Amino acid sequence: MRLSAFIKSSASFLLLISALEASGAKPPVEDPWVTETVRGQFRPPGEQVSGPAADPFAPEYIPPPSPPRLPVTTDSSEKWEESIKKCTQWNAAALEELGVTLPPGTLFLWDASTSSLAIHTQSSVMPQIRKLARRSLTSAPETISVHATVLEGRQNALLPILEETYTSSDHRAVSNRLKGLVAEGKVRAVNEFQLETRAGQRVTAKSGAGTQETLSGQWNATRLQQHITEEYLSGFDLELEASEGTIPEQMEVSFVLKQANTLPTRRREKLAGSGDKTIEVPLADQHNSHLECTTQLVPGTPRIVAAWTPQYEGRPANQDSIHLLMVEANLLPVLAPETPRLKEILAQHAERLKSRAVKTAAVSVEKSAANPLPPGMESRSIKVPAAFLAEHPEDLIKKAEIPLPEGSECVFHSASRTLQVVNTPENLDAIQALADLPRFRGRPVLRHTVHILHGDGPTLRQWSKEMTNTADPASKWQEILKLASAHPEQVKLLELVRTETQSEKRISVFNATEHMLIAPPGKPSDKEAEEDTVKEIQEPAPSFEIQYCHVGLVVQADSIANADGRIIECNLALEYDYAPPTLVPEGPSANQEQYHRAKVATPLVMQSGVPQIVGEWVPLHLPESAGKDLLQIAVLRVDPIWIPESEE
Amino acid sequence: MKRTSSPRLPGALLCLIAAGLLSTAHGEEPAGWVTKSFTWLSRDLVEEGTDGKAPPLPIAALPKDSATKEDWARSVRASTATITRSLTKYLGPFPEGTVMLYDPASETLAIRTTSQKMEMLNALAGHLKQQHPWQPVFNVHVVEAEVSFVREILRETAATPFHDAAWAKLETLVEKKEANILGQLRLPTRSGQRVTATSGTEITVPSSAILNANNEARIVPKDEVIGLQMDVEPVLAPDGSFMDVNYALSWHINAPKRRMERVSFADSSPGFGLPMMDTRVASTNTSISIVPGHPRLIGVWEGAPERPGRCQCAFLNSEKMPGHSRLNDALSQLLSEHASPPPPGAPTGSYRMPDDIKLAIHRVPKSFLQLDAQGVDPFASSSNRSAEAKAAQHPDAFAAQRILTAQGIQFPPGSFAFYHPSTSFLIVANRQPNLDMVEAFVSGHSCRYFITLNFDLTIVEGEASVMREFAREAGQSADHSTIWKKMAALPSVKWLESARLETRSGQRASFEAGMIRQSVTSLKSGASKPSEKQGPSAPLTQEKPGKDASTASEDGRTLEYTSLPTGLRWKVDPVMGPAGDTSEVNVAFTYHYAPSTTVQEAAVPVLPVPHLQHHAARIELSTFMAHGTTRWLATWKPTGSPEHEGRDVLQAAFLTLNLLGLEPYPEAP
Repeated sequence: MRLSAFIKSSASFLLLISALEASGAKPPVEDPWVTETVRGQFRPPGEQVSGPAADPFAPEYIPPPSPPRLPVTTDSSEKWEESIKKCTQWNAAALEELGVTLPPGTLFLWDASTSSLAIHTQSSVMPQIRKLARRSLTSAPETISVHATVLEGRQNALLPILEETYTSSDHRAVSNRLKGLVAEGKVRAVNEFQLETRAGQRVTAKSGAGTQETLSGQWNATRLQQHITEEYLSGFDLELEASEGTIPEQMEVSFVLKQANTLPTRRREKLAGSGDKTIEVPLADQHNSHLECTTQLVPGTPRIVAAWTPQYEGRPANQDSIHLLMVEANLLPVLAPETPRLKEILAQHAERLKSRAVKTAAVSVEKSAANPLPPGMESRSIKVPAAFLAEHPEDLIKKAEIPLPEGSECVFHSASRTLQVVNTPENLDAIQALADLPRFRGRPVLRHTVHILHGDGPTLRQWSKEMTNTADPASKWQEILKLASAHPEQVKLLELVRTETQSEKRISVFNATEHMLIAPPGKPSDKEAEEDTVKEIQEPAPSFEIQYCHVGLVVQADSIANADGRIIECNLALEYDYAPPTLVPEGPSANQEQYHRAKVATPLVMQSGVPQIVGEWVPLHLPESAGKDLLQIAVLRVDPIWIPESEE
Repeated sequence: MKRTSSPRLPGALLCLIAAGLLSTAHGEEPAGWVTKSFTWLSRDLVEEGTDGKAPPLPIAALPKDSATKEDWARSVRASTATITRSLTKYLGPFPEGTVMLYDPASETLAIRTTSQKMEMLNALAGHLKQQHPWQPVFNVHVVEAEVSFVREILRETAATPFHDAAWAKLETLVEKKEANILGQLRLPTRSGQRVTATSGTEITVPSSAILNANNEARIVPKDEVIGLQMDVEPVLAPDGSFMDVNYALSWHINAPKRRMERVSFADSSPGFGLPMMDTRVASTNTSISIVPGHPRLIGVWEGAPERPGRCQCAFLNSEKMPGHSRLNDALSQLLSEHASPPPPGAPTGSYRMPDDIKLAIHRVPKSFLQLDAQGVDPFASSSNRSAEAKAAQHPDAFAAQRILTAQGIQFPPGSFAFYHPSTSFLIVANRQPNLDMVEAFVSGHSCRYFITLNFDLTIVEGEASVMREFAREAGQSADHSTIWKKMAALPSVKWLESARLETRSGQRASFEAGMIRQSVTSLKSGASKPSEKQGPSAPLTQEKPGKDASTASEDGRTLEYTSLPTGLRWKVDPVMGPAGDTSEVNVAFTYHYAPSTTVQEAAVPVLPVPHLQHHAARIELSTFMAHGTTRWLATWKPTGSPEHEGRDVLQAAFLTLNLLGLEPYPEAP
């Protein structure tokens, strides 16, 4: 094969790319001329960001040209026209280097000091210019604005939405539907935060009712002598930290959301005083959902990043609601106010200047595609992801054993991430397939969904057996969910938790009641000691401290997806309390709690998008299950989400 | 997973096609051509590069449902070109007119080729299927059933590693509510990784009591889970046909019972009640070889005393969780629809295997290919040699054939040998005599299957006179199977206990079942100092006595609790002999023939707490046993317990050994 030419000079590259654009772009019938102002700061054409020229101490260093200055308002019309010409030359060249074909007659007026750029051109090219202009504002500081909404709805309203959004990264349509449901009153916005931050800075927001809760205390024979409390928030506590992602124009956002859905449940616990007297200590059980996740967001695209079954007192018997956390973030450049009247001035001069149309490169490129192609071969331009260009594309193609026969060609442009290839149609398809492989799309965000089901033993056991042996676990899983919604008395969905994380970042979810209990006191004698043996102790008053214990669902997972995202290795630790703790009257310490808990710690290999049973247990020692055959099942599903790279 | 449905084909027909039943009969194939689909993992289509990484397989996802006919035709052309390039390397050239369609989402390959070529593909696919990745999933069930039933299945399952029939019977009983599933855990994991699961009640039990100067006690608690606990760590055999499984199981037979033990001091200070916890536990810890898909009875023990006539057993089930997507059933139909028809006439393509040529597949290690580099001229310059060595590392498609030819094996026209590197398959097509020579050459690499040793321990009681009679007979032979059978048939001989333990050679296994009673066995003093911290002790966690003394008056005297197990506890540690049919057996067991009793010591007690007295036989021995034999291990006289007072009875322990070979279960392709 002919060795492919690697084009370094931007000029010849420009020919190629523009030729490509020109051949594909058919002018629309209706394409009016418009004058518009955008905010942008295009670099002068030909400036190299890296390489020897960027080193100011290098002998061949040429300082970059300074942008044209804007005349003052009182200046003559000629001066303005002169400025428009200069601005047009500068910006047209810059834009064409970026692959925009400007219609002849396009004009620019630019105030570099405020990054205000007025453009007079046909409306069809405006979207592309707007996008590139936004991207050109690299030197402006950026602020990140995050809008987070917590929505509440019943299972039958929200489960279908969660079902739909297993694999998608863009939830714009779902967000609109949810807005509709909110308007209909089927879904309620429980809380909403609008937060501003900048990259790498943590922002926190809290709202809710603060209550004072016991922390520690001291007592003597008859009463509490010292009682120390701390404030506890019933409501929302959101912490987030956003930074620019590894993929351009994406944001990495990490959240810590702590939601106490209701006020804590109060109870009193007795401590033995002297004789048969007891002292009561006020305690509270806080019903929390605590989620941590790290994900990647595209500015302006809302996403449901988490879902959970909120905690209430006496859960799970009396509720079937679900909460969603919907987040939308924007990355906004911080700029001086726009230069006034720029658009008007350009419009004033446009008609006169258009007649002396400024030449743009578009005119000169049409002939470039003249080279005849070898027989049986085609020329195709293929967009590739940034990671594809980490290696020499030709090496990559050879490694994938795609033939590069005599007459084939492979040219690439890294700025626009485009391959221009000449080969047989089959080989071109293979190169296209190679470029589309998941391994070049970076690391996916991993969305984890955990369900816990409770039900009658024979039914669930049979289902689990079928689920393990079926060739199609996804539809088997649907069956049980359907059964759970139709016959909750037979099988019930107890818990649902969804959250997402980046590969190798830990997921941690505490969807649990923080159960307050008194740590065993420094009491000189055991409670069981017979009464006559208890003596008055002439010692410091006995004291106690409060400790917390999670009662509910605790999920921690470390997951890594393999190169093609099909297999996910997941180290999972799951704990679930299938009943609230019971207090045993005669324990070795005064307040012995018994926890009814199932635990699994396992290194799993998951297939992407395939639900897998990760735990199965008999809820042991429950008074209500005596003589009954009951079973609980935990199911995990992990979906890799690739956030699409933005189009050039 | 993406599934492309084919609207024109009824579901039942799709299933038949998927099953391969209709592959030649759906009408569109001319004689001599076959269309079939396989699960063909992409890793089996690419070969590791020099950097040890698998190169990408450039095949696009299947066209969407809305795709045009032309899109499909393009997809078929692209698949055919790429996959043929890959498969040709180890299956030789494909006849003209062969078409392929690959679905990367489900890793399904549909292919239409001549029936002869399909035979080769079938053979390779069958072998590849055995190599497909899978992860083990374990399910442990604790079941309660009638004693007689459990003894029966214990006998049935002694000589086989496949306990499917026993489990099926038990499942039927569960359905009929004659047996109950008491506990259950699922443990998904992967090779070489430990999984732990528990379900039950977390409680605190006393672990020690710290005394103060006034002889008052503060209890230090520790955590314990009452319920079912299981740890499993499997290691899959290289060919995936079985796995070695280390596991530990612990199960509380019934709810723990609290009791108070009266503490009274020799001096005049008043006594107090000390809480104790008695638990009834069955636990086992061992390592065995398991063929996945077959349930295994891993333990038998007495049930709770409040349920007489019932005993409990544990079954370990294992399943293979496929590590790949399921076959895309619709793919072969899509291929038939969108591929251009095969060239007219009988398939006479570029390749045809003569009728007397047969196909054989052997699994040989990668080092096999290094034989290609040997025989190099040792006097050649080093640069040449390194080039040769390099060639061996990344051999060309014909290396395997060169190696076999060098061994004098002939390759007549139409025969070939290829090596499939990702699976280490040597694929040879040749005449039968030559295939036999190939087999002889590579047979040095055949796999060996490991053996599990199955021990059943039974303890019986009989009149001393009867037992002595049998004992004389036992002196005649090392195999006491017949004595055991005779003895078991006698109504006067009482069957006390049976237990099962399986392990592998060189692995210690243990089993315990019975009551664990807490007791105070020592009073330690003076060693520890009161801590500087005046606050409360760290609660509900395992604590070291003395470290957390909360009041200055505690003088470091600690009453230490001990857990005293009763019931049956035994360990075996076998080492297989070189011949593979006998084993050295190290056994140790303790059998409590009567419940422990509380003894209040006389006038000047050692401890302020009554202590427990045990009535047990403790045996520890080492012997040799052969496969399928029973050995009368030991005899003892139960003494010291009230119920054996004045009776002339003897108790005896019998051990039966069965060696369980695990034949690899070949799976139908």
